[in-house]
Amino acid sequence: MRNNQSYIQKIIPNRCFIPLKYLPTTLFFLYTYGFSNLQAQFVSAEVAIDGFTCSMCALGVEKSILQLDFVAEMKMDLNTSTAKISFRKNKPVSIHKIADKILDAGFSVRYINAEFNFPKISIDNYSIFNDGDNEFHFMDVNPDTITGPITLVLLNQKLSSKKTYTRWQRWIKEDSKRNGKKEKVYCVTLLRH
Amino acid sequence: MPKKVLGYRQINESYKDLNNRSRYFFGFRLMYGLTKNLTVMTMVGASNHHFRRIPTNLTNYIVNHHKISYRVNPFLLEGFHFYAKYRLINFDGEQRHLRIAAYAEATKSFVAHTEGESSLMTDNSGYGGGLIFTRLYKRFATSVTWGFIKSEPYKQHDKYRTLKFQSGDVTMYNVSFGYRLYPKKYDTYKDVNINLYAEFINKDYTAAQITYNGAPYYYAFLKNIGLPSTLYTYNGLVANKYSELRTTVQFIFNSSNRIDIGIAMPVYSRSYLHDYPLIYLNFQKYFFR
Repeated sequence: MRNNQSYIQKIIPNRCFIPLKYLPTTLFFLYTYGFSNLQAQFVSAEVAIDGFTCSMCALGVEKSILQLDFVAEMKMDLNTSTAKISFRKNKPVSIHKIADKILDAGFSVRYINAEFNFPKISIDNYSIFNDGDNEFHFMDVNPDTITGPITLVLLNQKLSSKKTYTRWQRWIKEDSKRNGKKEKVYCVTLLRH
Repeated sequence: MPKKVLGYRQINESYKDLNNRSRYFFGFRLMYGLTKNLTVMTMVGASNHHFRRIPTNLTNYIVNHHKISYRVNPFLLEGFHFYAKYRLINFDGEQRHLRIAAYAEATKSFVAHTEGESSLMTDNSGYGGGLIFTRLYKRFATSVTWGFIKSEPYKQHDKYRTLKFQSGDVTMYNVSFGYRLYPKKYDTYKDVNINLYAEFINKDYTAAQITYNGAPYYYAFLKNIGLPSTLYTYNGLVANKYSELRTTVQFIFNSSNRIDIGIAMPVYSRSYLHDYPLIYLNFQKYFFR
């Protein structure tokens, strides 16, 4: 390299095909739309399970969920029947399959709160975000822009308790009218602390 | 049981009969969760409670087989038991549930069960079924089972006789209570669980019917002989209603292995399937994938 090269010229290889003067703009767009879209995925979930109190039953549920190839780790709180699940980065995640495993173990879902890494998107009531693998239908949210890891409360019938689903049924029915009834979408709202 | 989970249970029972002889029953049961609602089980049983066949001289057998002088029962493979339980209704809540399940069972037995009370724990060939109601609330569980047993008659054809022994029809309504004594709060899956369990086995059955060469065989004469052994035999053949209490301590290790240690005692009348105290030691393991 020549001694009078700038810092950026020094760190970027000579064979980089992007003209140097366009590099900052290119990097900015890659960050907001390119790299962020590649990282759009479920990061973790907190699952609460109804129907058991003993550790033998809890172990049955945990072993069942750990069979899923996208689950990296699961930590069960045996006293509250809740579990924190973390997901593998390179595997598509299906929260529906987690709920199926809980049902197959003989129990029910109380709630599932899932953390999803969003790119920068605008949300509103009944807005949809689709990253190709997952489709989210937002409910009872104020118009806002979100980005990064966001915790969602899942409201589908299979992914929540009967009480929660009953409370949100009106929203879900309205969403079906507006957006069409589809399988495997996630009806969500934001977790309010 | 959870779907696609295999488990086994080894049942070991022991008591001293009225002649102070040790009697044993061993059962090996395999259990499998076919679906989230359907569990199936199969068991093979062996004991020294029975003879393979009723001897040629029926009266000699009926009068004397509970006497100390009578030959000792051999250890025999008794038969196979099949059981299926289907969960009909399920209300789950936080650390609680209410469930209703239906069960059906059938047994093929290879021994001569000559008691009035039918039993599908490989004593009789027959079938049965019923409903199980279970309520769990935190560390306390209760269960009510209503069921029936209908046994097939034991038939024997020799050169000079035909014999048919029909044990009575059974209706049962069992009530059980379970409580997790320890731990109060869990740390890990390795915590040893200690559960206290009490079950009231309540059964009502009709009298045994014996048919010998096509004609009814009346056994009321046994009462008039007046010996303890013949009175015992008579009481075991007539209709009866009893309540038996089974108390058990359950130890669960690593959340998948269970040992039950228990004792059964009569509360009202008694069962003539066994004597008391009936001691049992059972082992159970689940194989999670």
